[in-house]
Amino acid sequence: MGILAAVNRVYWHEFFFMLFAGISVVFAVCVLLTQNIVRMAFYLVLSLGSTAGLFFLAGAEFVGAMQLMIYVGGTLVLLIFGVMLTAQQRYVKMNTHPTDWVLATIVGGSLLVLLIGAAAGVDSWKDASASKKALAELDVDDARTATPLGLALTGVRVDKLDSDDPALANGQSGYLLPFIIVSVHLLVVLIGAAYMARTKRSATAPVGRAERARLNIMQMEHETDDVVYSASKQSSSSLLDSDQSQAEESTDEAQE
Amino acid sequence: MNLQQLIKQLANDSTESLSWFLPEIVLCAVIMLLLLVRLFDGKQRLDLWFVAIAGSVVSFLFSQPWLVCGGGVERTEIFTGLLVIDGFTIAVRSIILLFLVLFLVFTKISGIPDSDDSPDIYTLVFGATLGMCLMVSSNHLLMIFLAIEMASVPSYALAGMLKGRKRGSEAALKYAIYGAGAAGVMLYGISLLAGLTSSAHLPTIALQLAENLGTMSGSEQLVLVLSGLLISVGLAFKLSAVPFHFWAPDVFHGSCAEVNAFLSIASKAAALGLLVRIGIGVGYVPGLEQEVAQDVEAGPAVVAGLLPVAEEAIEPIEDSVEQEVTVNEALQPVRDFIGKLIALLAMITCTFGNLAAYSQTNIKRLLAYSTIAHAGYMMMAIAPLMSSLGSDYGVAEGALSGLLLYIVVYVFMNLGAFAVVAFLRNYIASEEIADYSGMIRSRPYIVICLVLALFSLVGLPPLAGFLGKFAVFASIADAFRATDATYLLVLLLVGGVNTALSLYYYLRVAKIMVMEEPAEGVDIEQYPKAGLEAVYLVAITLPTALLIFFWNPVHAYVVDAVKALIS
Amino acid sequence: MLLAESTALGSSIGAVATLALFVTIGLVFLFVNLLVGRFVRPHNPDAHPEKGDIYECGEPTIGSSFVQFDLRFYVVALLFIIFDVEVAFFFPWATVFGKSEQLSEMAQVEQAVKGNELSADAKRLYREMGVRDTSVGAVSDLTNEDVYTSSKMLARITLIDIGVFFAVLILGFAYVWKRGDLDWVKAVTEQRRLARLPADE
Repeated sequence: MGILAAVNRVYWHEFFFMLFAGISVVFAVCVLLTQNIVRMAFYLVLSLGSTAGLFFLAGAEFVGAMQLMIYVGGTLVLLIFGVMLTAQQRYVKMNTHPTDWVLATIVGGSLLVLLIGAAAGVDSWKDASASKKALAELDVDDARTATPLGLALTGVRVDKLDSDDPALANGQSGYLLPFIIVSVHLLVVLIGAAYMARTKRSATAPVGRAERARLNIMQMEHETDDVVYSASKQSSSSLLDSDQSQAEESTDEAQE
Repeated sequence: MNLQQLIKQLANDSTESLSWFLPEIVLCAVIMLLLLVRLFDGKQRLDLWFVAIAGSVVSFLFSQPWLVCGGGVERTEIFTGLLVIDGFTIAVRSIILLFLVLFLVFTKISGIPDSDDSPDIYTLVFGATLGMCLMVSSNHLLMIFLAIEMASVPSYALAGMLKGRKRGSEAALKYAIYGAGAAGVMLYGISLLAGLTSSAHLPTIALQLAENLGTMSGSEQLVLVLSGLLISVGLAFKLSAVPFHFWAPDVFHGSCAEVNAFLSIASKAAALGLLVRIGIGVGYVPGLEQEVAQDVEAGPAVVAGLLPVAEEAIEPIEDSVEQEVTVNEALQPVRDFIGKLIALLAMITCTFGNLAAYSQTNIKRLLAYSTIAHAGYMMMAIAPLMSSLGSDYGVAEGALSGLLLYIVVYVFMNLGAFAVVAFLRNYIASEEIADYSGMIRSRPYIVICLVLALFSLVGLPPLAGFLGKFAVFASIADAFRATDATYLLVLLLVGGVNTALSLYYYLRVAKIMVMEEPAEGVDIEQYPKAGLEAVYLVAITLPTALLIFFWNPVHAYVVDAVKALIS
Repeated sequence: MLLAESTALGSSIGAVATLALFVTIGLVFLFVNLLVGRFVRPHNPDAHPEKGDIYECGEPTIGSSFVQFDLRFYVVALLFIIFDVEVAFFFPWATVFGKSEQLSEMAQVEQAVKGNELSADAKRLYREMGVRDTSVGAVSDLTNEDVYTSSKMLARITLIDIGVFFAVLILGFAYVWKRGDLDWVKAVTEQRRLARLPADE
C-alpha cells in the first residue's frame, strides 16, 4: 500500500506531458542541428511519435492513434524512401549557410515569440480550474472518442446536445460533406501522384497538335539548357534568373 | 433535442443541400467518368476531351447563373452551415465553371495534354476546380482550409505537367513546398481564431466577436490580430500577393502556358471569392436587418434557414432592433483591420508587380508579374467594401459588384493573352518577347487579339479592362467621400499611378510585335496557317472589346449578385 | 493532478503507462542481451579486422550504406499513404455503423426503451456514442419505434457514406492498376528501354 500511495502522489499527467513534450522538442531541434539527411528523417519519426503521446494525454485517443498510423507509419516511410531515393554522396550532408541560419532564426524566432506570447497572454486559456472541473466531470467513455468522431463525420454532432450556449451550438456543423469530398480529393491526389511518378512513354504516332506542342516545349527547354551549360558565355540568363529569384525569396522571408 | 432528432435533421438537411450542390456533384461525377472510360477503353478510341467538355458544360448549366437576375437568391446555409449559397456564390462559381469550359476548348486547340495523359490531367483540372467552387462558398474554417488544399494540391501536379523538364520539375517543387508552408502558417491562424471564439463557423465567429470585442484584454486582441495576419499569409499565397508572390514568376516560367492560364485566372477568382467570404464572414453578419423588419412585423417568427443564431443569440437581450444594429457596429474594428490590411497588401502587390514586369524578356514571366499586379487591383476593391459595409450599403455594393465585374473581365482578357502565348509557342517554339518581333506580318489576327488583350490589361478606355478598373476605382473614391479615411485616398492614388506605370511594359510587347522588323533567319511563310486558333482567339477577345456596349445588363447582373451578401 | 481524481484521465494514463511499460521492458531486454553477449563472446579485433565493420552477416560490405533506392519503392509508398489515410476514416465509421445497427436491433425487439426510460443496454450504447445526458428528461416521449427508425436511418446514411467514399477510391485504385503503375517488372523493362534510348541516338 505504501508504494501505491507513493506512486499515486506523483503527478503522472504532468510527468508524462513533460516527458513527451520534451522528447518531441528535443528531437525536433535535432532535426535542425544534424547535417545528415537520413538522420533528420529518423529524428522526425521520434518527434512525431511522441506528439502522438501528447494526443493520448489530452484524451484524444483516436487522433493519437491516427498520428501514429498516418504520420509515423505512413508519411515518414514515404519521407525516408524519398530521402533514400535522393541521398547520394554529396546530397547526404546538408550544410546550411550561416546567413540562412541567421535568417531562419530571425523568422522562426519571431514567429515563436509571437505565438508563445499569444498563447500565454490569453487569460481564459490559462485558467486551470475550468479544465480541472471539466476533467472531474469526465467519464471513462468520454476518452473513447472514435464513435463521437465517427458520428460527427456522418453529420451528427452529439456534443451539440450538451452545449450550454445556443449561439455556439448553431456553429457546430456536422462533417458529412468534408468526409465525402475528401474521398474525391484523395482520388485526385492519387491520380496526380501516379501521374508524376509514371515515366512518360514516348508517343507511338508522332502526329497532331499534341505532339507538336510537346516537341516545341522540349525544344525550348533544350535551348535554354544549352545556354546554361555553355559556361563560356557571359552569365547566362537563366542562371541569373534563378539567382535573382533566390535573392527575392530571402528578402521575402525576412519581411515575413 | 435528442439523438433521434439530430439524425432526422441530418437526413433532411443533406437532401435539401444536394440541390444547391449539383455543379460540384457533376464535377465529381466527371472525374469518375473520365477514369472509368479510360479503364474500359484501353485503346483510347474515345477522346476524353469530349467527356470533359460535356461535363463542364453540364456543370456550368447546373450552377444556374440566371438565378441571380433580379436578386432572387436568398442567403442559404447548406450542409449544416459548412457552405453558404447566395448570389455571390452562384455568380463566382458560374464564372469559374464558364472559365473551365473556355479553358478546355483552349487545351483542345493548343494540344496539351495529349490523349495518353488526358484522363490524368483533366482529373487534376476538375479536382482543382471542385476545390475552387468550394472556396467561394465556404462558411466554415474547416471548409476554407480543405477547399484551399483541394484547389492547391492538383495545381502543384499541374505545374509539373510536362515531365522530363528541369524547369517544370523545379516549378512544381517550388510551388508545392511554398504552398505547404503557407498552408501550415494559415492553419496556425485558423486554430488561433477558432480557439479564441470557440467556433469555426464564420457567422458564429462574427457574433462571438461582436459580443466579446469590447471586453477583450490587450493580449487577446493581439492574438486576434495575429490570427488575422497568419490567415492572410495563406490567402496572400493563393492570390500571389507581395510578399508571398515569389513562387509565381518561377512557376509560370516553368509550366506551360495552358497551366498558367488556369493558375492565373481560376485560382485568382476563387481566392478573391474566398477573401470576400472571410472578410464579410468574420466582419459582418448579413441578413440581420431583414430579420429585424420581419420580427417587427410578424413577431419572433423563425426565418427558415436564415441564421437562427442571430435570433437566438440576441433574443435574451431585450428589444432586438437596437441590439441588432450594434452587432454590425461592434464589428467595425474587425472590418477596419481587414480593410486596412488588404489595402496595404494591395498597394504593395500592385506596385511591385508592375515595377518587376519592366525588365522581363520572357512573355510568361511578364504575364506572371502582370497577374500579380492585377491581383493587387482586385484586392483594392476589398478596402472600400470593408470600410463602408456597416454604414453605407450603396458604396459597399458598388465595391463588391466592381470586384465581380473585374473578375469577369479578367477571365476574358487574361485567357486571351495566355492563349496567344500558347499558340505562338506551337508555331515558333519560343516564348521570348524578342522572338515576337514583326509578328504582325505573318499572323495579323493573332497579334491583333494579343494587342487588344494587352490594352485591356492596361485599362485603356473603350476596352473591358477599363470598365473593371473604373468600377473598382470609383468605389474607392465613393468610400473615401463617405468615410474620409486617408488610406483610401492613398489607395486610389497608388492605383492610378500603377495604371500609368503598367502602360509601358504592355505597350512594349505590342510595339515589338507591330513596329519592329522580323528577326533575321525566320521564314514567316513556313508556319501552318492559323485556323481554329484564330476563331478561338476572336471569340475570346470579342467580349473584351464589346463589353462597353453591353455594360448595363452586365452591371445590373453583378449588382443583383451581391445584394443578398451585404443587405 | 492526482491519478485518482478523474477516471477518464486515469484510463488514458493507464494506456500510456502500459505503453511505457512495454517500451521499458523492450529496452531492458535489448540491452540485457547485448550486455550478456559482451561478457560471453571472445574479444580479439586485431585478428579479424572485418569484425570492426558495422554490419556482419558473413558478406564483406561494399561501399556506403547510403545507396540509391529504386523509384518503384517510392511509388508504392506514395500509393500506400493514400490508402492509409483512407483506412483511417474507416475506423470511426465502423464504430458508428456497428452501434447504430445494435441499437436498431435492440429497438426492434422492444428492448431499447422500457417504460419511459432507456434500458440499461441502450444507455450504455448512447453513452458510447458520446451522448452524456441519458436521463429521463433528455429522452422523454421516446418510443422503441422512434429509436428503431432513427437508428436504422443513421445506419443507412453511414452505409451510403462509406459506399461512396470507398467506391471513389477503389476506382482510383483500379485505374492506377490498369495504367500499370503497380507493375513491378513492366516498369523495369520500360525504364531499361528508356535508358537505352539516348545511347541509340
